[in-house]
Amino acid sequence: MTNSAFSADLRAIHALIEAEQQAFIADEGGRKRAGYFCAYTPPEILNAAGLRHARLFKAGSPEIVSQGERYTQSVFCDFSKSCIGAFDKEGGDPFYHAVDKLYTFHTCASMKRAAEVIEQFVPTSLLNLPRLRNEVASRDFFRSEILHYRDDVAELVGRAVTDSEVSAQIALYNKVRRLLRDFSELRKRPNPPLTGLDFLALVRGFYYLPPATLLTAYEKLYQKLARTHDDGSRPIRLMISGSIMADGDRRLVELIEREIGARVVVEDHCTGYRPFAHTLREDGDPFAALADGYLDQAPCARMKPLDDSLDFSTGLAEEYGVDGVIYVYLKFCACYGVSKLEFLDRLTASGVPVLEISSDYSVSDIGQLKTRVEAFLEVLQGQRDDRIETNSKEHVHG
Amino acid sequence: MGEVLERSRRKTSRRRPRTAADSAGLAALQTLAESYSYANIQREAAAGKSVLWGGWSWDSPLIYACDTIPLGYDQLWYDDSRKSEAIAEDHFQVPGEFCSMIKAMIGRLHSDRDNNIKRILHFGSGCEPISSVLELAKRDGYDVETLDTVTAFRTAEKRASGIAFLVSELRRIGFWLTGHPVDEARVAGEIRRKNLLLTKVETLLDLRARHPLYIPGIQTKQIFMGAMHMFGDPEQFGTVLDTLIAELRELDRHPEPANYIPLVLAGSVGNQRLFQAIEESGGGIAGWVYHGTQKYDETLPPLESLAHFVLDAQARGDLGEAVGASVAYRRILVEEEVRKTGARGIISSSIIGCPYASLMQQLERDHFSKLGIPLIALETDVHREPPTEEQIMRVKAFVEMLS
Repeated sequence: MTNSAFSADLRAIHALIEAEQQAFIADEGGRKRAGYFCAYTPPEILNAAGLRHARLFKAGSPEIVSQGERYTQSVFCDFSKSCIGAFDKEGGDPFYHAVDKLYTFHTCASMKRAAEVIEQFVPTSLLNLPRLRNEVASRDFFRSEILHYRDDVAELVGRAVTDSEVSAQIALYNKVRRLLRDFSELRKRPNPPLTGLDFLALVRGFYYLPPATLLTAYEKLYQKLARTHDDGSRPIRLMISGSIMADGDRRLVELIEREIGARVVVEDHCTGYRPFAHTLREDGDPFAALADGYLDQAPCARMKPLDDSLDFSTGLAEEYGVDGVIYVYLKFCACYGVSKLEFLDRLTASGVPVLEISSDYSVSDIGQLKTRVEAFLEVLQGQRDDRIETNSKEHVHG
Repeated sequence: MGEVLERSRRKTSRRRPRTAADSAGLAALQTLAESYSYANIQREAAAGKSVLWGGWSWDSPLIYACDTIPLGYDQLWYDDSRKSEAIAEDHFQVPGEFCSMIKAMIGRLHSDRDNNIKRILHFGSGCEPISSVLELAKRDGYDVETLDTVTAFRTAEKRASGIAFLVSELRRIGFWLTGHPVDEARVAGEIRRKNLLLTKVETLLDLRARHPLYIPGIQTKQIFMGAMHMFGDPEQFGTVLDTLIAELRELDRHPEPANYIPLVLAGSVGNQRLFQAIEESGGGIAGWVYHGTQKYDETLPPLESLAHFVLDAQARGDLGEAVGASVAYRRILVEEEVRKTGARGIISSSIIGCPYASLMQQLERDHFSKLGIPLIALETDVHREPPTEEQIMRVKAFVEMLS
């Protein structure tokens, strides 16, 4: 295969993110800085309060994992260990050290446990997230937890956070979600004008940049990409599904796109496309809108019923016309490791070939990974060639 | 000389029971524990009795009030655990890195999918892998009901909204079990009954702290479990506790010098043979942080009382991963036990592959290292084979070092 992929020019976006991260560390402007871990934490509240904020999902380095292992044993997922390691005052990451307050909703038990360790390094608020996404009582409870989160944030900034401020942020973040969805729509083209790596970079911006800054920069880029003409090639199209893919954990996508020449056209994970598949209601009580909106977003496998996650995954694979799915779970990730058979069976039953990969942040298995991915892509290429041949025969025979 | 010893032994045994073999209370406990077996309860289910997997812990008063027998998850790995683990890995492809407990659970549920105990109750605040394997159980036709996630991460964070939500969840579970609203007066009655038993267990554990070898570790674990599910027979369990308390009081009347190294055990020991290794090495588990003996508040409406009970336990670091207890605070309970019992060392135990317990062990290791209290961290599995020689050697070396 040759690498004929386009790639968006994201240097300006990278520069913006870098500048924002430096400002976060340097405490420019003297605003309080909040961090959060999970895509179920509404940044709308943080932004409404005028906080500088970021999702904390930098990971992928074995060194930070080792730092975390000073507090855990090896039987923890590498992402959780990285979160702990990054906060460790002896070593760690200056970006994490700059956080004045950490907000974390109880998603998986590992991240809850990680937060219980991290609270020795930074003030931490743990909040409840129900699992039963379709129950009215669960939604009401989540709303009450979001109100508590609002009050906590208000205490941090020393002023009230009003309903109208939150409503305005819901509308603003919806714009960003729609724009990211528009970017992703471009990936439905036979030869998408942006790579999977590009999309992950745009998602980084969502979690690091103020939404107003993001909109200005991204709208221009979107216009440019939307005007890109297709050169007629059609790389193998893949979906990546499974556990979180941290900011810094790019080895698989780099391998697929830069070394092998296939294309990741959509992600069913919480740092790819998944959190942008849904927009929030903009009228009525903003806290009910947040509770409903975040529970209605495409679900993590931690949520119940699991069927909702399986339906979303198979639907997304079909919507983006993928040739295959790479299902990646972090070792010790209960949500995606234990449940993997459900995903594999459902995707396979829908006619999509799946490659399963158990991953961590070590570097020793890259050769094996490459061999497995190459073999999978060869199979997909063979299937596609067969389909083209069959179609052309049918066309000839009328 | 031999004759003198024999006479002495006979005299001692007339005065008071000396070993598990002499104890009427321990014999009765064993009979009761055996009656609460999967096989026996399966027979009751076949005869039409309402039974469910789970609901045996903090929520047992509700389950009993719904005329249902709660069957502890531990029965799923009591027998055939190796075979069940293999089913989990082969049939369900549960990755090898996960613990033997969850694999034995899903494997056994699969083997017994044609049995008539088909309902499973699960608390969403608890262990993540259990939550995930129970999703797999649905493939085999199990009716899995989740009591949604509510956690008090600290005592101060036991919010009214969380209590109200948990109460509504308990009502929903009651309806699921019976098809009608739960009889709250009956729940209140079950709470009173359980409180009486918890008071007895507390008394027993206080007495046992001075005679830790009289009720060995394995039987003490049974008492802890009974404090939660009462072996399906609260009256009989109460009688057993009364008998054991009387025996321990009798021992108290004739104090003898302690011939053991007092230890505190944190958590459960999955492999029961390790208890024997501890005791054979001269260690005595004088204090144990496992399932506490806190009481339910009888002044509250009953479902609220259950909700407060579990949220308090979480924030205290009590009741373990089954309820999502904080990993940060169990060490406080352990420290209290060390002070109370004068223990010379701590055995912190967890299941191999349990990330949450391993984190708690690490926190405990760091904490007690600073306090200068020796601690050994053990990892075991749920299988019944003897522990490895290495584990036994570690335990023996630890106890020897303390002596």
